[in-house]
Amino acid sequence: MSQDTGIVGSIVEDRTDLDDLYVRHTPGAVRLATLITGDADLAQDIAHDAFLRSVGRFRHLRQPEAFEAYLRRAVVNACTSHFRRRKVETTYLRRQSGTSAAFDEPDHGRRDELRAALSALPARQRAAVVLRYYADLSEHQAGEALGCSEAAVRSMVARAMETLRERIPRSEDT
Amino acid sequence: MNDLERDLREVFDEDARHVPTPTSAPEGLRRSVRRRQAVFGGAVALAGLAVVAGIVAGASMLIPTQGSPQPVGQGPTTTGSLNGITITYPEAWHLIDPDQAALNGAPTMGESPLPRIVLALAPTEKPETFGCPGRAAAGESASLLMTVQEEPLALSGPASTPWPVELGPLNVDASESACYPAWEFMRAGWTASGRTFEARVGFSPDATGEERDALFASFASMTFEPSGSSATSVELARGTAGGEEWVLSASQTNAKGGLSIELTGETSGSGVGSLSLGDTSVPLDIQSSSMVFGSHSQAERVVFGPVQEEVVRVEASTGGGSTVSADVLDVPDDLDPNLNAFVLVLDDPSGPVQLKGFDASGQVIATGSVGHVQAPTSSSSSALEDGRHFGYVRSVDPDAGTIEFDLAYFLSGKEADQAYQEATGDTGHVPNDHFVVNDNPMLRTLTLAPDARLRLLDWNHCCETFFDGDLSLFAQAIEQQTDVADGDLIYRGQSQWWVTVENGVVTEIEEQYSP
Repeated sequence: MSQDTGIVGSIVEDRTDLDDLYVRHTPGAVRLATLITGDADLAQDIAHDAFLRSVGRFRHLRQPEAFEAYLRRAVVNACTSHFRRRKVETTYLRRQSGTSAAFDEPDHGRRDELRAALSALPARQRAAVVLRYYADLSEHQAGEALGCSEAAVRSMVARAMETLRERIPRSEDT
Repeated sequence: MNDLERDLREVFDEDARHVPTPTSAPEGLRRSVRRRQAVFGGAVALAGLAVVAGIVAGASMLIPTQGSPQPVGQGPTTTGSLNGITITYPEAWHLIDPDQAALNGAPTMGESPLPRIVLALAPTEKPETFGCPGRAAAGESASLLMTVQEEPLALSGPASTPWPVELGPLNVDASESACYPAWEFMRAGWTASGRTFEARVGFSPDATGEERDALFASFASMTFEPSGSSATSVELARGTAGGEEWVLSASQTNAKGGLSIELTGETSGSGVGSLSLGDTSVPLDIQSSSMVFGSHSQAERVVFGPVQEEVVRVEASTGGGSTVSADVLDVPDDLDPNLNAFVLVLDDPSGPVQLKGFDASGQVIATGSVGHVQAPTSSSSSALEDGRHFGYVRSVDPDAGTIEFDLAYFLSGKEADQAYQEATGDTGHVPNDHFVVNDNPMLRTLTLAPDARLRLLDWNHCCETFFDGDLSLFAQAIEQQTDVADGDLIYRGQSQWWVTVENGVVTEIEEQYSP
């Protein structure tokens, strides 16, 4: 990420560089936000806002190389805050039972059960699972993104997996 | 990897592949980034004048322009009154009412405690000249700014100092600020006519001596009326417990609503209970706080808090079998139309207490409880056992080498979930996996070891990296209850702390991360 340093180390003057930074980082942010929120439209807004927020603060960071991690953290915070503030869990569940902008694949049995079970998890547990099993982050990195300790990440993932196993009885771990 | 983990990865990968993602940057991206950088520059690098940047920029966009920029000096003056504050200032400056400008409660102002009354004085009216003077065109930037905001009523501490007061320095390093390059800042807090205010002032390096003098004269000219319809804090009741006088007051927690009930003792410090009904219509339990006054056989406990307006009387039953009840206290509708308050004095200073709220027909419509509270003793109330303790630092006296510490409990895991569910009635997990219980607001004066270490979170390397902080800057942040910047290091005025006590003195203060 060292190439990001020159772009956002000070006030952004070069439009091309800024656009490049946007194109490189926001798709991943949108995917992450979509998997956490289940709402592709909302995810676009969250990712865009997180990008602006991250670039806006970047010049105050002593380690600009951390931009990607900072953006990820901003996305996760925005996603979990969204659920916490607006209590849209029920809306989300209703959306999942109907059509979804993000998950409109044909029914695949167990996978759809898994999607439904994921959608019913508390937001931060869902975020922890996404960070660990989609973004492939270590517990330490996931903790940084979630703003909690590694132990808390372990706890959240364990609770989430326990819930998923309970709700998907056909799961047979090897 | 097991089946579930593999399935999760496959589901995530599959779903992620179908997520529509941007392939190009949107129009206006650079402008948006600049705006964010300007806002953040004002908010963090210059915590002292953040209020000015946001409010004045917004007000300038909402209020019609008031004429062309004019040189400011000791020329003609005019007198204006806003929300019970009367001030005389140079005619070329502008007096902005945030209520008229619909700034109070505006989404752009966030959820932090907000000023209800703001006087913004500056010589020009273009938004960027206020919001980020450093980026304004040459000759168009404001050379000084001042805001006056109303705070919750202060019954003790520096903010209770009676008017008139003088502006004092506000230690903010603006040397690298883009929006306020090399600006100088000052502040003052005071109480007048039963109201508490804070003023913040910023001077650019270009501010002339005349302008500075004019601003000082404007500041000193202010007079204050008692709270009217714009009251943000009122005294609800006074009484005595454990031989000590107390005062109960109510104030808005922020401009978006929410009520804070504060109990203040002569010497025991203060405690706060707050509640916001928000947009829920579900009946709430009684959210109470308690505070112990006196010691030994004379100790008494004052239980207080906000209640829904349907509750007309609150009754407290102690484990010892005694019952005390009282009618609720009316909270003015302009503070909160949906909530009132109660206060009860119990002679049982430590046992559990059950609370019942009755409606006008005598039916119990709300319940609550107060947990076990440790009664202080005259000899040990200001001490803590050796060990690591969680809580809030309420004040710091660098000269005396002491802090005032409000002991609390930092719960995590199942304990946090249980406490969260009991406190909120929610059945889910506690957000952020922790919950703070602070039933007893007694303040303890703790002595700092000469080499006490102050470990503050480095938000540039959030959230496990610390830096060794300076005690005087820490004291300033705590006193002002706001962030103080030292270069790119931030001293947070409102945070949570772990203090390590060894041989009866504090050897370390460490900041607790909270999202």
